[in-house]
Amino acid sequence: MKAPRGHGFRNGIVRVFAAHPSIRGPMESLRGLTSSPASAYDELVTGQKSIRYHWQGILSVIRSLPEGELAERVESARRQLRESGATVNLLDDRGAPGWSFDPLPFVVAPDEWAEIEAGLVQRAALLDRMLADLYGPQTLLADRLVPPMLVHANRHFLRPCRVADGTPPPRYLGQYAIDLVRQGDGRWHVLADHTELPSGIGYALEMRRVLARSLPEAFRSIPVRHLRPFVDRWHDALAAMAPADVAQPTIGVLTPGALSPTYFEHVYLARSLGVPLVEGGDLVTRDGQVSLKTLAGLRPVHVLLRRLDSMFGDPLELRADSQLGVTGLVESTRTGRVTLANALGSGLVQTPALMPFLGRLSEKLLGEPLTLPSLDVWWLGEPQAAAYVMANLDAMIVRPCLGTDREPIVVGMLEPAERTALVERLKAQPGHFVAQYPVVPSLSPKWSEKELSPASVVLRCFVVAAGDGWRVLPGGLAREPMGGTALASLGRLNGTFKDVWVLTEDASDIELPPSRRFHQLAVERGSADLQSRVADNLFWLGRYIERLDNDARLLRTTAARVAQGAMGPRDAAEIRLLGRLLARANLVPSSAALAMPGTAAFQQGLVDVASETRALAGLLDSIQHLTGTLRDRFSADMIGAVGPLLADVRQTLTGVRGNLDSLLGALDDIVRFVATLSGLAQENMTRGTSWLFLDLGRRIERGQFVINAALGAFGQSPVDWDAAMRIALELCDSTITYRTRYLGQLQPAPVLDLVMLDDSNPRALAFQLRSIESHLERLGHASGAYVRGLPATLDTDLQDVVRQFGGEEQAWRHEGLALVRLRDVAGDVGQRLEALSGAITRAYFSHVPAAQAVGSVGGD
Amino acid sequence: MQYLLSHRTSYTYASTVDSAQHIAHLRARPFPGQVVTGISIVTHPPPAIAAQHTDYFGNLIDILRIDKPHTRFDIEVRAEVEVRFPEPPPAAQTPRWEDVRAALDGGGFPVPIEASEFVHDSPLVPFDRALADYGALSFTPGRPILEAASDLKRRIREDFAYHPGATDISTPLGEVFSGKAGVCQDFAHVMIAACRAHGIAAGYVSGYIRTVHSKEEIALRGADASHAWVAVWCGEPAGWVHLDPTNDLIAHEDHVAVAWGRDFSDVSPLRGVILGGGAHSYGVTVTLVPTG
Repeated sequence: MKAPRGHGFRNGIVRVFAAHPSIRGPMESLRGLTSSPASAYDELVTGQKSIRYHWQGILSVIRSLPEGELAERVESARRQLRESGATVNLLDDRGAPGWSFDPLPFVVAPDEWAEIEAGLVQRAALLDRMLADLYGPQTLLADRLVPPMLVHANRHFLRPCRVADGTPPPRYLGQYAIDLVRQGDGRWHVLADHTELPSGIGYALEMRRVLARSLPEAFRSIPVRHLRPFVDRWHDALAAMAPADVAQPTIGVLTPGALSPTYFEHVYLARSLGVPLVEGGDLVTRDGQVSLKTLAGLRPVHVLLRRLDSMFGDPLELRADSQLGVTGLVESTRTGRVTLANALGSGLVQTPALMPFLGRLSEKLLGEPLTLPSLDVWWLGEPQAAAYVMANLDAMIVRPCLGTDREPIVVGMLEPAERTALVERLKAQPGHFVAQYPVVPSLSPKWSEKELSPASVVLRCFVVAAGDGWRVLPGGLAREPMGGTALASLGRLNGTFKDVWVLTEDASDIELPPSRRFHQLAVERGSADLQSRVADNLFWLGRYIERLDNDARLLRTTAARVAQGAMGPRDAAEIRLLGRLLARANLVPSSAALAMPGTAAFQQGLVDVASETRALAGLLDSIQHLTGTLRDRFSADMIGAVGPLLADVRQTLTGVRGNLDSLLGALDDIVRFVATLSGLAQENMTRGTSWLFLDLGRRIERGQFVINAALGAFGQSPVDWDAAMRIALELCDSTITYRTRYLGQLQPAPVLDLVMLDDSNPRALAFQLRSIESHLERLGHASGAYVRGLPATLDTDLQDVVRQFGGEEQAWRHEGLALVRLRDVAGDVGQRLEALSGAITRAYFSHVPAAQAVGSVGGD
Repeated sequence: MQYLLSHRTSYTYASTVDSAQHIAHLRARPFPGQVVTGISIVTHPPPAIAAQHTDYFGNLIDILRIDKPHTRFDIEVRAEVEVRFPEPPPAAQTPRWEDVRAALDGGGFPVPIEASEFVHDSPLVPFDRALADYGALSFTPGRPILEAASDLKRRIREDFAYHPGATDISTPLGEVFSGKAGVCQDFAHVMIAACRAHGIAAGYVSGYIRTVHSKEEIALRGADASHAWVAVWCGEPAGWVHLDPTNDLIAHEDHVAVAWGRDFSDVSPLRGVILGGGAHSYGVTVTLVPTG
């Protein structure tokens, strides 16, 4: 349906809104409700107090919702964003969550967007040309179009990336983000250019996804341009940046890793583009070629969407202390065998100090005037500009423009002494500073829990290179900046985010996804393209999850007995035994674990496991970290489930506070958390190499648990047979099976058969060994690298042991030999499992030892 | 003066290095007054890939990749160099340092552009108040630039103790200054910082110095190893003048230059990233033989 238009409708909608109790006030005008200067442009209402045409659609949709419905939808949308990790991962400098979500989009009319789009394309072309010159012939310096200092003293200028005899990249800018503000005169101005790490597009895409689910009726009735076609074409454009002779280029998203505040976006982009997410450690350079380390060996990579700071890109030629880069990357770019989008060093042109010069540069380089103006910025390196700034300093905002991006300084708010110090700095190093007047962004409606209210808005737009031209995302990320002034939050993604709706004249304008040119893909199963690092992380995630489960079961078994209170001799014997197992597993300090059952010391040791410094919390940390780094490997459902569940588990664990019943509750939560995780992995992961590593980790760990805990119960001297058998069954979750099979009469042969030999029991040792054997076989087949499994004689050994307990009761109760044999074989299996873990590590994970820098000292 | 040069560096590793990538600033390049007639680099093990480039500063770099496991890496450069750095004009005739500074500032558009590069902070030479004050004693009002720079070089020679081992490449410049001791690269950095604090362009030159005069047998500092000094922009017509604060000399025939940059980090003779190797040690042998 077309957006309705015409005066009649416009008047109608104003009336409709005026009648709505919750939004009557704000709709009159946004301006009356804000402390912002009267000069702020009103996005919603015209000077004649009528609602602007392009806002009427969304307001009408909101109006049509039943009372309270919008609030509910907002809550659901925010929950979805939390679950996808979008709002969680983006942290600002102080570690606080970076942003919140406003369901009310920022709406842009078609004709206005056309102007913005043209301006963005022109600016992208200009900055790209400038980079090509400044990393090339530098005629812009010779022709006095760019002050040399803005290059020479700019921390983003990477000298190794300018080599006379190298192959220049096809494009310097593959991706580019621009912050725009609309000033009081109604014109859009550029607030900031982001050419180094243009973040935000992933958040824009995710917000759109969530909003489309929360407000589906809006997208049915309002002609909003879609974002998906942009992403599909972006993939094709990236592929086209590969070296000309590569038919099927491999693309990757290069990320600094899970600690990056915008890691969510890196994962999101890799997924949206359908390409691997890679870290520096996943890549090696050989023969001028950058390759991905996979299980099956090295696989060439041709295009990298770079989200790693250039300076950390190559420890050989850039920052030597970088642990995140790829040794030899700069040299690889010189040979043209790999294209980085953006090229290394692309941050050079994002300094605001260049803004005063862009008008002339546009005339010279493009032969046309700059259509999208920058905000007025004065670079103090020019004497006239410096004189102007000094004369008007108290009304201005000053910021360093060449070094690390630091907070802007609002001169009017300085103490006299601070102001004097600032003036001295400005005089000593004028070229390092720019000054500008405070920005008054336009006001746009936002949803503030109960009603609409006006808020400042900064618009972040995204441009990517596409063939010879550029493509602009028909949408973007609008935000209400934190801290009042738009300048204070420059370059940071924080505040309140909202989707950007670009309207079309009519639905036929809506771009459909391109008819993709499909390459003939070979049908593949159990891909060996898995990165070695990812395989390593999956394996250890498997081990940690299983270890968490085992620890929780062991603790729960103990705590449940202690919590019963009145303790018979049988309970005491079992608890004593469990205490030894707990001490052995390092879960409870020996002093407490070996204390008499029922004493306060024992109980205290038990409840202390919930403390944040203890093993359980450490395991939860590791699991959280690994699931974080593996986000791109799991389905959205898994990611969505793990985050909140993990948070819940932590909460119940911290809530224990010395209470035994609370501890039992928390342990139940942990067991259920692991069960959920297992269920999700079981039902949602294809049985490819990823799953094999995850499960291999679990099987090895569970095998160890059977040996150390369940069979460990028989390791005490003298053996308390009844206690040991009951505990072995309980720890292997096999009590009920045993009761069903043997009607409760405990004897060692059937007990040991059930926990050791019965390969239909998923907690039995044999089940683990079978799975390990089959997994290794499949991994060897997929990757071509085989790891020797456990020897076949192990099975016979295990069977022999169990058989020895099959005789008369007198025989096994007093026959020490059978017991010795059991302990020997169990110990042997344990050692072999640990050795196997090492063999898997050597075969599949980091074949490559850690890199270190070497350098000769200077002369004498 | 003509020289035959050999510069050999050896790394010995405690355990096997699986692969290594090195970048070398070892090939002596031409400078005004310096001609390089023959040059070769040999490594053991030989590189799987070797690339040569001219870097940003016009220096010649070698990028070497070694894929073979090895426990020792040797690299030797041999060169024939003829050097006679032009004699600068009499110091009193060079422009006042304030005029040179004004041209290098140029209200944002300096002259010459190539020299303005060397006015700004660089990784190992950040602005330092104490060094600015130290330099001010030489950069007195109205003084001809070469006179001021020569005076600074002489003072560094007098005020600082030559003491190998007192510093290493990670010692911050401020510490070098307060300790008043170091080696040639420290003195070069001190001089560069003092010049730049006054808006004067100064570059770091790596190279060698002839340690023994065949006749006089006067040992100069910097024996049998790499050396470093400073090139100061003295305006036209003097141009870049090579001043050696370690020996209080103006480079003429006893210095052989290899490369130059803003500071040591731009011209580090050999650095690399190795996989494996554990602990490592290295040795450097330089011989510079006058041949006529």
